[in-house]
Amino acid sequence: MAVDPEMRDELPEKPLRRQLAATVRTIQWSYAIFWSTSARQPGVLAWSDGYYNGDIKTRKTTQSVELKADQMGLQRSEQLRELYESLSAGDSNQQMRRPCASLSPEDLTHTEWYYLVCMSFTFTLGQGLPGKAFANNQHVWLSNAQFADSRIFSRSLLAKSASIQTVACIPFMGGVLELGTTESILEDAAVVTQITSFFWELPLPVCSEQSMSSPQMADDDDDDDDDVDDVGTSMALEDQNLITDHPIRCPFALHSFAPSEQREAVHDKAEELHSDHRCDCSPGDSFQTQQLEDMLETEGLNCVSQTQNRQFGDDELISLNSNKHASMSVIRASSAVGERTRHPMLDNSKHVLLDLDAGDSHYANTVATILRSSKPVRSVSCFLKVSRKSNFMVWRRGMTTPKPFTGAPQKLLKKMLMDGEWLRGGHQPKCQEGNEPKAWRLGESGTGHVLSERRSREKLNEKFLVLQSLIPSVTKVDKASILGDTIEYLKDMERRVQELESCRESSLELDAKNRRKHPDVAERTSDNYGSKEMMANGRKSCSIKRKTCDAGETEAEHHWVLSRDGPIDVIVTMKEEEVVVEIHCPWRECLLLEIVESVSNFHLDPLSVQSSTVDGVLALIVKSKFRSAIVASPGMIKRSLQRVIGKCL
Amino acid sequence: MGGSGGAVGVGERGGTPDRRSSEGDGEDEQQKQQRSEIYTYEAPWHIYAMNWSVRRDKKYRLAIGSLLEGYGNLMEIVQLDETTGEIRSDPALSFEHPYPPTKAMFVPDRDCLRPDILATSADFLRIWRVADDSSRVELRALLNGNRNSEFCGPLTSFDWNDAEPRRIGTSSIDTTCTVWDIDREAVDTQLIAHDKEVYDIAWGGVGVFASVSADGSVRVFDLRDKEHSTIIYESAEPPGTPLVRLGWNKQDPRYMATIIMDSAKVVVLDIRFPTLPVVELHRHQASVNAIAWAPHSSCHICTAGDDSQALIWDLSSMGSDQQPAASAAAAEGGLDPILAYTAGAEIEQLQWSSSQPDWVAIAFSTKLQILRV
Repeated sequence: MAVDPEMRDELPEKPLRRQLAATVRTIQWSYAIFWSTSARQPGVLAWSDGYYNGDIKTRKTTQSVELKADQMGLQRSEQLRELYESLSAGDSNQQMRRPCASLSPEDLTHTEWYYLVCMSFTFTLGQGLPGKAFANNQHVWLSNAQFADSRIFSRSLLAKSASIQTVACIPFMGGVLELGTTESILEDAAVVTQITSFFWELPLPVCSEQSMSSPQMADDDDDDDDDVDDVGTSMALEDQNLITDHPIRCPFALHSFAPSEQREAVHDKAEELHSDHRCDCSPGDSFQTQQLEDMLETEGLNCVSQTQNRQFGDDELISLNSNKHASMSVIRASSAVGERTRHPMLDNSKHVLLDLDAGDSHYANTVATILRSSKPVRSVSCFLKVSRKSNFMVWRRGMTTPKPFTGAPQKLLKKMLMDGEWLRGGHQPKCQEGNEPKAWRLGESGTGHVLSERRSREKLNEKFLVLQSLIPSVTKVDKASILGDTIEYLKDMERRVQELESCRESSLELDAKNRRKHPDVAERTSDNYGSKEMMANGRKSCSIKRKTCDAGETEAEHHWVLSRDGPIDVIVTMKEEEVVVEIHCPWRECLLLEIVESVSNFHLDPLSVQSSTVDGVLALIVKSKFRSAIVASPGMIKRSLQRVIGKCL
Repeated sequence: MGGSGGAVGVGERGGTPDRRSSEGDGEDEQQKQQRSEIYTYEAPWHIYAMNWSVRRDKKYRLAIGSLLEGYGNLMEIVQLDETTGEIRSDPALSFEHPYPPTKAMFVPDRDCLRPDILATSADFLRIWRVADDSSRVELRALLNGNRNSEFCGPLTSFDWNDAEPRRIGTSSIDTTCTVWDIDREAVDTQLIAHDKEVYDIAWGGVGVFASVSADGSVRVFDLRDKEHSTIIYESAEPPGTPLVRLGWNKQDPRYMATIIMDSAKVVVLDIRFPTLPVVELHRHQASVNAIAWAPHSSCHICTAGDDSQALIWDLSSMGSDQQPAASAAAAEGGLDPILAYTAGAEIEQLQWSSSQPDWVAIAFSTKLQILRV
């Protein structure tokens, strides 16, 4: 940079501001600030001048004359500066003395607030973005500024609430030129060049002198021209949002809404600020809203745009209040000043603040100073309650739906999630031929554990079926009742068994010797019992068989028990530890196995088995020994054997 | 909380005089609603899958999917024509879709760095490409994660990772969640997420996602540690009631919301405090079908359900001081929503536009409506 500092100092402020204005407007960023070395504090960069080009909420002008866009912008920047000065003076009365068209804090958007607070910042060499740019004499570009570490970018928290996403600091003319925008723009050296070249190119008398005095830039002028044009066009295309920027926003204040009406609207809104909700509604989004509105406006939907102005105002107003809240919570966190409740959702930011080093407490102090003088503002929901444009209405208790819902809840949702068969309309998906939808619904998949789970589930189901057939009293088919009935049946059986055992054992001992001669009374009793059971099944064959049996009576007739398929004779003898089971019964498949199994169920270990099958009659003698200490009574064994034998296939 | 809480307000002001004098019964409100502009699109079939386009250069564009039984389903790409104020469907951008799509999503690429693609889930995850000249939509990829070719279970849902748009996570009734890298068109990871069918999945950041299942639990997974998951909530009345939908607050990833099967309440959770809901939203008069967090605000959520209502809630008071806030809210009978909209029928689908945050879209019966918040 060939400009010597003296020349810079001589530059009156206004031209600098104009330069800033033109630069930032051309590249369509949100603000431009020039930091220069402070006269008061050597070695420190302080606010020199700036131009605000971002979102504006309410325009307060005394004149109704149509101003050009750049003039509006300059005026706005001037107003912001005035506001800052009045606030930092800390005199609450000052506000009354100011002209009615001056701004007050609630008129500002987030981004304007950010711009205003920037005015209070100073940077030593190497500190913060401007300091770093100045120290290294190299431009610094920060994308995602709102997430930046506060050590690198001390205003990152402010930037977040202002939704400033990109900040670029360019060392320039003995100071640092900082530009920022709410859009996220990737680092582009061409932009940096463009910015610096703009400063030399501006059609202002002072500027042109400058351009002549810097020979190196003059050479680059021609090249820069082309570059600039290209960059300018490409940027315009990139950010279509910003196309309809100033020319349309300019008549914002001069719309069919007279400024006074607008102000009235603003005041009315202020009345409504009494609920305590807060939102993070950022002006970046209202910015986009504005763009939409502008677009719609240009497309000719004029009726719509009128209301949008008011809505736009509301959004900004409300979002400002939330910003206030943010600032207030900052105060609380850092210096315990402030009367508002800490906003809960700002926990994150609170933690950030607590980690601040000394440098950033500057920010908190500044805000504290500024806000101490402003009146407390309550925040409100960021959503409109009133605008005709919103399709939503204020929710009120007792608001009932037109007709109460009586159908199946979440019907379609459940269909989509759960009813695979419905989804496929009964068709099998191509890859799953042959599989049943039911299997699908069970969650079958190629993964191993699920398959084995299914197998075990199937086994379980099978066993439940068997149990169901075994227990006579089972009526229902669900697993819980099957198990319940089984338990009941078992208890019943055990009870009976105990009863019978007690009388059986006593009679057994008595008749141990007389077994051959006299059939066990108990046995017969039980036989009869058994036969009654069998006959209760009501098989016709029983009666027929009985007759046949009777016809063929032998000595051992009274031993025989009538059954469905023929006479059954079961004799169980117990001699000390050895149990002998003698069976004569009609043969059928697997009967032998079942008998042996049944015997072993009583913890009896078969020692020898003699069996023969003659004329369809199985004669079997099994000698066994008790395996363990558990002793079953002969009666029990006999009964179970009879059941096994008598069971029809 | 300083100041007066409670009632909202000097309510209706300005505008037409009728509003001020009205008694505020349902019908009048309906009329009021109709006076404001609503954009409606009527499809030839019931709409279920629906979502906004994110690209900066295609505003007010949505994709809608049909809900027809069987194989032959359709998807349409519709757009609001700002000159006429109508939502129109471009016939060139209607395409056939096998089976009803359970979800549709455009690539979360606002800056148009990627091609114009959208994804749908049904029996498989499919990536479709909208031609640059908007002349047609063609299938770009069919992603089948099943190594075992016998099986193809329906994908109940999926989510596109905002931070890494090449990653899509899908949830399936085979209890697994699959993370896809759609640039390579390959599976990144496949996890058995739950004991039962997984009904929804949502990303919370790079490499972190959560899922809900028929087993009634919300689990958070971190791809850096695939062995472990954290259960941050289990349904309790009765235990094991399936959770059918999940939404993760993209603005404030501590918070997520879930819908319980057949329930009219929405449960908001904080991942720092597992099993304890932050708040339960009770004001729906019938079961809730869809939830959507505001894309630009960390404390607003919209819910919609079978009572034909879409409600917007402000959760900012349910912040750090959990216990007092929760009990205070409970004392008042629960948190009230701030805004409401009544549609013509049960609202099945709700999506809040991330690129235009003051618009939400709802789908009920055969209609799509886009509403300004």
